[in-house]
Amino acid sequence: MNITLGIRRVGQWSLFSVALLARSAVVLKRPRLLIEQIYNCGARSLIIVMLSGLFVGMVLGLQGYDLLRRFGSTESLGTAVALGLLRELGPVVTALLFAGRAGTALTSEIGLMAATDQLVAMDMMAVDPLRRVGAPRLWGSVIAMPLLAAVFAVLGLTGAHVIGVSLMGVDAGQFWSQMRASVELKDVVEGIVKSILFGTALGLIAVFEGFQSEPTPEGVGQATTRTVVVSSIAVLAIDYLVTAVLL
Amino acid sequence: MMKSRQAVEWTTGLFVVLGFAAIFFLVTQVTGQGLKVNQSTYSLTALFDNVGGLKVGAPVSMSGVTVGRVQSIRYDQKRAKAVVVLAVDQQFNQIPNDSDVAIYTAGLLGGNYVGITAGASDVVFKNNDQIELTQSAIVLENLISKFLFEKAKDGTAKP
Amino acid sequence: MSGIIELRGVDYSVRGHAVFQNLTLSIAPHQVNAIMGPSGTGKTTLLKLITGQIHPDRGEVWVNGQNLRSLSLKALYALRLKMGYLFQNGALLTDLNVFENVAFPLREHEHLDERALVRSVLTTLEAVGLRGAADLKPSELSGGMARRVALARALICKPMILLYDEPFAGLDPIALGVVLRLIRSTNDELKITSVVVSHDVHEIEKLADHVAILADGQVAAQGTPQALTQSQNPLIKQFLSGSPDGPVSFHYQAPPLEQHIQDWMAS
Repeated sequence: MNITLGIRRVGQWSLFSVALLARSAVVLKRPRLLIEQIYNCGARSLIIVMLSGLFVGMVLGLQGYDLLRRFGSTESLGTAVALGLLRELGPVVTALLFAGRAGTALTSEIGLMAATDQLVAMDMMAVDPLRRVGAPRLWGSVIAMPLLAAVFAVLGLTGAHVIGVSLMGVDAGQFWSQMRASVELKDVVEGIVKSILFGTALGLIAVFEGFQSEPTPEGVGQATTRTVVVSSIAVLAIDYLVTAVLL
Repeated sequence: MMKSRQAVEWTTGLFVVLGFAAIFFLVTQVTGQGLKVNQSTYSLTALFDNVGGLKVGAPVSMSGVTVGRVQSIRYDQKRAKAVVVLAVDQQFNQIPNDSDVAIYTAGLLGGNYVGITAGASDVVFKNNDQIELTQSAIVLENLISKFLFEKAKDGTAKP
Repeated sequence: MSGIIELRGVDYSVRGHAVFQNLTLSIAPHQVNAIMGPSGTGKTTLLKLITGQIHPDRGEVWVNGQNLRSLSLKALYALRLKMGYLFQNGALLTDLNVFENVAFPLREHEHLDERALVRSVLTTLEAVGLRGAADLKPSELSGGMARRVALARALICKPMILLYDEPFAGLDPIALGVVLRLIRSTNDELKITSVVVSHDVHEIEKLADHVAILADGQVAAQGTPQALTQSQNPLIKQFLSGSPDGPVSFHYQAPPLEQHIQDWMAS
């Protein structure tokens, strides 16, 4: 991928994002569109997020127990798992899953509408496609992400609890009391701030790729792949920046 | 892919409620702050020279069984000691009032917890009573320096 | 010239290839105007110029007395509300059913109470003969039905001008007849101006009041269908009779056969 093309594309994306954000008022005037998109991005990603959260939590429980056992401090398992989930794994893993499930859905939906002239048809009917199609999807993504990340974290804690307490014998009270003592509100806030930023980035990328796709079946496929790749890198980069700033 | 409008609204509402419930859970049940659910407990106070790493919410146990939680820890300037308030479950209301309380460490690097060793008195603790016999946490550094000091004394004493 | 749509001295090129050169065309109101020509002469491009989707490199496009280039996006949208556009594939919104597709312009632009909206939609569907199909999805419609739904959608806001992009392409004879009748009747009953882009000579002969034939980036000929069938222009004769060779040659440009075989094997 050549550099000048890449920079041009970043420029296109930036201008597109500004135009999209400028049309955000529509979600207040037409809440039904937003509700449909929260359903599209959020509710339909719920099962995969819950399952993943559970499994990640269980693995954290196992790995965390094994690691802490070597230092004789297995009752800190709750703290370790909670901090890991709230600050990092919750928002980041959820965002990556979101890019794969919701991001690709958004890009391919919009790309398909472009390929079948639906967006042009809207333009012909004096309906701005960015306003009608793009903005609700962006805000659906922004709203769904933190909710999904929270659900992920809760299920992760559940999974870790099941493994740590029921299987490995960590005291349930220690699990939660150590956690409560060491975890602060700012950790939860950090996680929520990250997931909102992720949701915004993911929404902007997925919608952009959809509108910018070549209106052919191959073009839509390529755009969808690009969404996943660019979103994943963006999430990890933003994660580093936010962590560095907040720490 | 096209669900009825009602189904979409219902499912979305459920999702949003679930999400906010999750956030609420994380804020209240996982962090140090948050709402405390009122349980039927009574309070006992104990003064310590050193609480070590004891944290609020740490368990209070008797014979290894958890009977309550540490409710609050503060420093009393006048008495120059740490004041620890324990919230003991109501069902354990037969603790003799000559029992002693100590701060133990769980594991090598583990957290501290409070242990109550039962005494022999016929009178039991009531709400807001103070436990007289306390033993502070064993701080590792003090232990090591004490050991070295003893070792040095033995060394110089032997002919 | 005082047509409702006018193109004056329009030049337009795509990727170096000149599509139109000094094209001048006037479209009279309240009749069915056909635009014909061989494939690739830019018939769809012409429609895009009329709707303001693209602007000419040189020259002007005037619609309803307004120069498209001078319009802001808002003014352009206001003008488009008076135009209906029928895409070749219908371009129905796939996540909505037939009813909602036809209702779409009303929901977006007008604030009718639900009952009035339902009445308007079903009446318009009735006019195209598809009221019974109101709850079908676009994927369940045949090509002809989809096009009729698209027509209903284009009509519902009572436009002044209707633009049809290849409305006869790929239809069976019955559907063809239906579409023909609909174009004619909507034009006459609603007193609108219709612009039909097509290369279906037989259908256009039956339908159009005025025909313009495009070739080489210009209007090669125009007039009533009868006048054109009597034309002696070789290009027009070839086009109308459908003969494979004439001014538009059958063979795409290529070197002589033996030379071509040599070149191909070498590459």
